[in-house]
Amino acid sequence: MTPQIKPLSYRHRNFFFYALASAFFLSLPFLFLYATGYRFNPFDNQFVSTGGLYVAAERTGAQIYIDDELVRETRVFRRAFYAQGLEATTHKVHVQKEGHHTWVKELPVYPHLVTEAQSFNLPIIPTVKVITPWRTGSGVAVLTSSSTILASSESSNQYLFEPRASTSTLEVDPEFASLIELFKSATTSKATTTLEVATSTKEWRGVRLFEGLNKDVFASFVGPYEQMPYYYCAETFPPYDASTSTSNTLTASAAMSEVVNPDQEDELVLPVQSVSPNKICEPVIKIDRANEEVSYFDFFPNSTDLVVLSQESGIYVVEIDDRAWQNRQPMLLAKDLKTIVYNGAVYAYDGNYIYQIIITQNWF
Amino acid sequence: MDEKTHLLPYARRTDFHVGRATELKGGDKFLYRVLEIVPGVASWATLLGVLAASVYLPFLAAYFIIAFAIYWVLKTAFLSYHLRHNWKRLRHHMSINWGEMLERFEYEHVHHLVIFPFYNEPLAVVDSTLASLAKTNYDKSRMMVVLAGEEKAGSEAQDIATAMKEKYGSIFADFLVTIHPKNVPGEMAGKGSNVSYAIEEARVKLLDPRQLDYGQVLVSNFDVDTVLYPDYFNCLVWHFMTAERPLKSSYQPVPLFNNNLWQAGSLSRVVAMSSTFWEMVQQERPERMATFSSHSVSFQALYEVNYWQRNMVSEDSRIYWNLMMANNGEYDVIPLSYPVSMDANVAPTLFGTIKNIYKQHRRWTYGVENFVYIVYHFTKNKNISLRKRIRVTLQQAEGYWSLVTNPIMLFVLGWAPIFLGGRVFHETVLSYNLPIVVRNLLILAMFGLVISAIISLSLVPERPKHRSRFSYVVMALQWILVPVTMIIFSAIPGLDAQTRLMFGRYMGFWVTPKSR
Repeated sequence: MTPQIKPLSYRHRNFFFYALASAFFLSLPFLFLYATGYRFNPFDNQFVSTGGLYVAAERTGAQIYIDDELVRETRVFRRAFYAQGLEATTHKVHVQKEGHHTWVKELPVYPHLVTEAQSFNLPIIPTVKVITPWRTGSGVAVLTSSSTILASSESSNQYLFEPRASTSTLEVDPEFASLIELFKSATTSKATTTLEVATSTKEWRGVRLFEGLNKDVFASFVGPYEQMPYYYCAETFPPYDASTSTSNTLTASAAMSEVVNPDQEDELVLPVQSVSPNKICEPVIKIDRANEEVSYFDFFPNSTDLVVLSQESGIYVVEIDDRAWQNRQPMLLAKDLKTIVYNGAVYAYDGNYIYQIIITQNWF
Repeated sequence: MDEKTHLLPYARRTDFHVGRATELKGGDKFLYRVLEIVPGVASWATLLGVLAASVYLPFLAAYFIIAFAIYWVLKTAFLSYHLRHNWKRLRHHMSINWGEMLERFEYEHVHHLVIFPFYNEPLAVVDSTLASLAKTNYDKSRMMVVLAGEEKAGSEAQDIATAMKEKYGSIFADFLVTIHPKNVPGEMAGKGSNVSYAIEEARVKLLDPRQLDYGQVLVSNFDVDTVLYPDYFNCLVWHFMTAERPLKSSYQPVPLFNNNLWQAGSLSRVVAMSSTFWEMVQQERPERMATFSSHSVSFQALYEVNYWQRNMVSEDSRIYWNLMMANNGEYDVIPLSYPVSMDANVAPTLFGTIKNIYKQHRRWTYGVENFVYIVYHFTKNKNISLRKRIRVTLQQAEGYWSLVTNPIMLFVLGWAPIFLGGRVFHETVLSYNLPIVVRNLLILAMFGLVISAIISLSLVPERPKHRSRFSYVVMALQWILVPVTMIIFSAIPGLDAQTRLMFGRYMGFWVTPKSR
C-alpha cells in the first residue's frame, strides 16, 4: 500500500521545464520587438516601426486628444498620456478643458522614438488679486476709481468700491507700496529667480531670454547640451494634413536583426529629434509676438518652457517650443499694462492698481 | 584503537568538518578563502553590473531586464506548479492512516532517538513541544527523548529541563537531559555543537546499554518549538522501510511555521509562509534538496560522519553535505511531505519582529558557507561523478546567486536604465515601454501569489474565538507584501551574509527568540 498521490516524476518536471524554456525563447524576440516599437501588421504580414507621443498636461480634468481622438482625461496622479504604437508621421495633439484656452500642436512621431510635449491651458477668465494703495483697517482693498480689469476677471480677494472715501480713514497697503517701487524701476527689473545679464535679458536654468533685432524676443539655450530641452534644434517636419505614412515595414527577421544588430544602432543612438553632438545647430528660438510690440518679457514662474510677454493688448504666455507653431494664450487682456514677474508671481499695473494674476495650478 | 574507525573513509580527513578558511593551511586555505569570496563577488558584480550597464549600455540593460522579467514569470509558474502539487500531496499524506500503512512491515526493531536542543526558550514552548510528542500515534516504549540544554543558558534552563523530565519522563522509553558545556575549544556556541554533544551522550547512555543496532535507530533532530502531527513517526518509518537506501538517506518533513500564526503580524506571516512554501517546492525536486531545520536520519549515518558540525552556523543543512561527501555522492534526502509545526518569528514590537526576522534570515542565508564547503570537497572527492559535481555546483550557485540578486534586479534595478540611461535612451520607445512591459510581466507573476494565498489559508491553524473571520481576508491580501519581504528579508540579509563571508567576518549562531 502506497500513498495515492505520487511525487512529481522527473519526466513530468522535465517536460514542464522544457515547455517553459520554449515559451521563454519564443516570447523573448516578440517582447523585444514590442518594447522597441515594432507592431505587427496582419494585413501585409509585416512588422511596422512605430513611435510614441508623451503629452503632459498641467491641469486635472483636461482632455488630451491625439488626431482628434480623446485618449485621456487627466486626473490628479495621471496628468500625462503616453501613446505608443503610433504611425511614424505628423500627428495633431490638442489639450482642452472647459473654461480654459485650448492648446493645439502638430508634432512629428519618428520610428522607435517618443516625442514629448508639455501643454498648458490658461483660464479664459483670469483670476486676479487686486492690490490697492489704500485698504481698510481690516485689510480689505479699497478702490477709489473703477477698474476695467476687474470687470473682465474674477477677484480672489475682497475689495470695496468707495469713490469718495477719505484716505484719512484708511491705511496704506504696504504690499502695494513695495510693488509700486518695483514697477517704477521696471526697466532695471530685478526678478529674484532670474539672472539679469543685461537690461533686457533674463537667464534661468540654462535658458536665456533676450531682445534681438526688430524688437523680437528670443530664447536661447546656453546650458549643458545634455540638459537641452527636446524642442531646440528640432528637425522640420511636414504638416499634419499633408503628411503621409512613412513606410517602415519589415519582416520579422529583419526587424529582429535591427533590434540586435549593432550596425543598426544609429537609428536608436542618434534619434532624429535629439541633437547629434556633431550637428551644427544654434539653439535659438524666436518667440512669436504676433506683430505686437513687447514692453516686458520674463519666464513664466517656475518654467523655462514658457515666456510671459507684456504687449499692447495685454499679457500673454507663449511657449518656446516652436515645433509647428508656438501656442500663445492671454493671461490678462487690457491695454497698456505694465508687467512684472516677481517671486513666482505675475503682477500687472494699470496706472491705478496692481493685479496679481493668480496661477492656480502647479506649473511644471 | 583508532577512535576514527567508525567513520567512513572520506570522513576521516582532517578537513572533513572544515568550517572556515582559517581552519586550513597552505593551498587548501587559499582555495577555501577564494571560494568564500566568490558568492559575494558574484552577487555584487551582478548588481553593480546592472547599474553600470544602465548608465553606459542602457539599451543592453533594458533588453536584459525584459528578458529577466520573462524568466521571472516563467520561474514563478514553474515553482507554483511544484508548490501546488506538493500541497495536494501534503494534504493527502495528512489524511492517510500511516499506522495502517505500516501494518505490512515488521518495524518493531526500529527505535527513535528524538533530540530537542534548546537554549533559553520559555517553559511553555518546551512543554507544548513535548506534549505533542507524547500525543503522537507511536509506541512510546521505542522512543527515547533527549532534551539538550546549554550550560551557558544558566540554571533556569536546567530547571526547565528537570521539570520536563519529571513531567514526561515516564511516558517514553527514556528521557535524557544533557547539558552542553560552554567554551569548548574548537566549537562554535550553537545548535550544532549542542546537538552533537547530546547525541554522543545518548549513544553512551541510552543506545549502547540497550545494545541497539545503530542502523535501526532513527534520530530526529527537532528545533525546540517543533510541534509534531500525530502520525509523524509512522510516516517516517514508512518512508524508512520503503527507502531504496534507508541508511543512506535523510528524511525531511515540511516545516510549517504556523504554531503562533494567529499571534503574528502580516509581515511575519508572509515571511514564515514563504519559507514553508520554498520547502514545499523543494519536496517535489529532491535532487536539489538538503536537510533544513527539523529533520530525521539514521543514527548509523550520523555516527559514520561524527554527527553534526560543531564549528559553523547552518549545521542542519551541512549535515546533508557531510553525509553526501562521506558517501561519495551516494546519499539522498527523502521528502516526507508530512508537516511539523514551528513558530513564526514574533517579537513584542513590530520593530523587534522585523529585527528578528532579518537576523533569522541572515543566519539561514549564511548557508552560503555550504556552497564553499561543497565546491571545496568536490575538488577533493573524485569518487563523486564529475557530472554530479558540476550539476550540484551549478544548482547551488544559481540558488545563492538568485536569492540575493533576483528580487533587487526585478523590483529595484529594473527601473535603473530609465533614470540612469541618459538623454538618448530616454527619448526612445524602449525607455518608455520598459516600465510598462516589466510592470505587466510582474502583474502576471503575481498570479503565483494567488496560489500562495489560497494554499496559505488552508494551512492556517484553527481560528481562535477572539479573532473575526475578516482575519482570513487580511491573510489572503497580505501576499501583496511579497515584493517587499523578498527584498528586505531575503535579498538584503542574503547579501549581508555573503558580504560578511567575502570579507572573512564570519558569523556566529544567533538563537531566534521564541515566545507564546
